[in-house]
Amino acid sequence: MIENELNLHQIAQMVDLSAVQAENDENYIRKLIATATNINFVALFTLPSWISFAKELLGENSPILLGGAVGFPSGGNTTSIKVAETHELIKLGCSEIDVVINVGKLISGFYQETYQDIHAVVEAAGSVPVKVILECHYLSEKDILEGCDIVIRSGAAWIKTGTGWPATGATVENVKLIRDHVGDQVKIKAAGGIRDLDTLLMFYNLGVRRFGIGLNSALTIIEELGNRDLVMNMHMIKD
Amino acid sequence: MNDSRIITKRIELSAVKPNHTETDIGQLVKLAEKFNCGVVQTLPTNTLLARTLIPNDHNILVGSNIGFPSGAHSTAIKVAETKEMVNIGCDEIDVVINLPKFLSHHYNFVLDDLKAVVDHAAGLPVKVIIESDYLTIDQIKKACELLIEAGAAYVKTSTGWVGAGATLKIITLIKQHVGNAVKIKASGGIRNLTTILQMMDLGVERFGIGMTSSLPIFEEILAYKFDEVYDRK
Repeated sequence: MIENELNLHQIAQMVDLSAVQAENDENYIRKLIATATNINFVALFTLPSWISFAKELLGENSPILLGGAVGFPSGGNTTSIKVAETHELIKLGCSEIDVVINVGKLISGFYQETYQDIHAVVEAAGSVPVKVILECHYLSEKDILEGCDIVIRSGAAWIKTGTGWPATGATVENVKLIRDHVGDQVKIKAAGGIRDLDTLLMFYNLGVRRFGIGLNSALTIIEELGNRDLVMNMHMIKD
Repeated sequence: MNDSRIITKRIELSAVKPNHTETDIGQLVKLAEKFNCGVVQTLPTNTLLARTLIPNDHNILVGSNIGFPSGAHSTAIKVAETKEMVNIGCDEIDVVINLPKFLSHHYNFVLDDLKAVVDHAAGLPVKVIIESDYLTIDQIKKACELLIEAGAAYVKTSTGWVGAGATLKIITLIKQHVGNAVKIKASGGIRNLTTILQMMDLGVERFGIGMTSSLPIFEEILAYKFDEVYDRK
C-alpha cells in the first residue's frame, strides 16, 4: 500500500521545518520563517537562542507552531538544566518541546534515571506536547526498545528518531522497530536524513506522522510535489 | 618534570559525545590517572561522576562543557549551567561561543554572553570554544578579540563534534593574533605526538584529546626521549 494521494497542504501539516545546526545564522532563520509562512508548515524549530527572534517574525497570530529544542543535541545536560530550558522556551512562546534523552544513561542501563530526566521535562512542559529524541544512531535495538518504554511511561506525546547531528537518524529498521513496539501509545516523528518525497511517503506508510526536515530538503520535497513555481519563489527569498 | 608529564599534564582527556556510558567515564578517569593527564572533560551529566571517581590523592582537574556543542543556548541557561558546575566542584569551564549569533555579526550579544559565563565561573578558568571550522580567518580574529575582552583564560579551537578541528595553520593564525593575551587549547583531530610537539612549539598550552583516540598517543609519548623536548625551547 503506497500512499501517494497526499497533497502539499497535508504534507506541510506534518513537517516540522528545522534549522538546528550551529551554523544557521540570522539570514537562514529569516528564510526558514518565510518558507514556513508561505507553505504553512505545521511547525518551525530553531536552536534556543533564535526562539524569541522567530516568535517576533512569526507574529502573535501565526498558525505555525514554534518548537524548542531542549538538551540539544547531546542530551547530556543535567535534568535541572533541561527543566530550566523547557520553562524558558515555553515562556518565550514555544508550543512544542523536543528533548534529547540522556543517551549515555540509557546505554548504561540506568533506566530509572533516564525516565526521571524525561519525566521532569514532561512535567515542566505541562500541556505543551513533548517529543523525546532517542538519537537512534548511538543505540542498539535493546536500547531503542527500553527508550520507547521510558517515553511511554513519561507521558510524552511523541518519540523522535534523531537530532540530525550524527550521520544517521531515521532508518526503516528503527522506525519499524519503534512502531511495532509502541503501537498507538505514542506518535512517531522521523528526523535525520529525510531529503526527498519518496522517503517521506515511505515513513508515512510506516505510521510516521511528523517529519523533522531542513530547509533545502523541504524545498526539494515541495518541488517533487509539482509546485515548481512556489519553489522558485522560495529560492528567490533564499538568495 | 623531566619526563612524559611535560606533555601529559597538558592533556585534557575528554569524553564529550552523547553515548559515553558510566563505564566509559570510569575508564576516562583511570586513563587520566595512569598517564598523568592534567584534566578530564565530560558533558555536564557526567561531571559529578568524574569528580567522585578521582581519588583524593590525585590532582586531576575536572572540566565541564557549557552550551555544548552549538553555543546557541540562552545566556541564562549558560549561566545556570556554569553555576551548577561550579557548585559540584568543577575546576575548569569550557563554553562554546554563540556560533549562530556570532556568524550573524551580533558581536555585542556574543560578548555579553561570554562575560556572563566568566562572571559566574567563580574565578575558574574559562575556555571559549570558537569552533574554528565554521569561521573565516577574519572571524577567528574577531572571536579571539571578543573572548579576550570577556576575560576568558583560553581560546579553544573546537568541540570535536564537527569538522577537522585544530590544525597547525589555525593555531599559527590564532597565536599571531592573540600573543600572550590568552592561552590556547587545541582540540579536535589531534592524533599523534608529532602534532602535539609542533603545536607546543607554536605556543599551545593545552590539548583536548578524546579518550577513544588517546591510547596510541600515550604509547608514543611514553616511548619518547624527553630530553629532546627541553632542547626544543
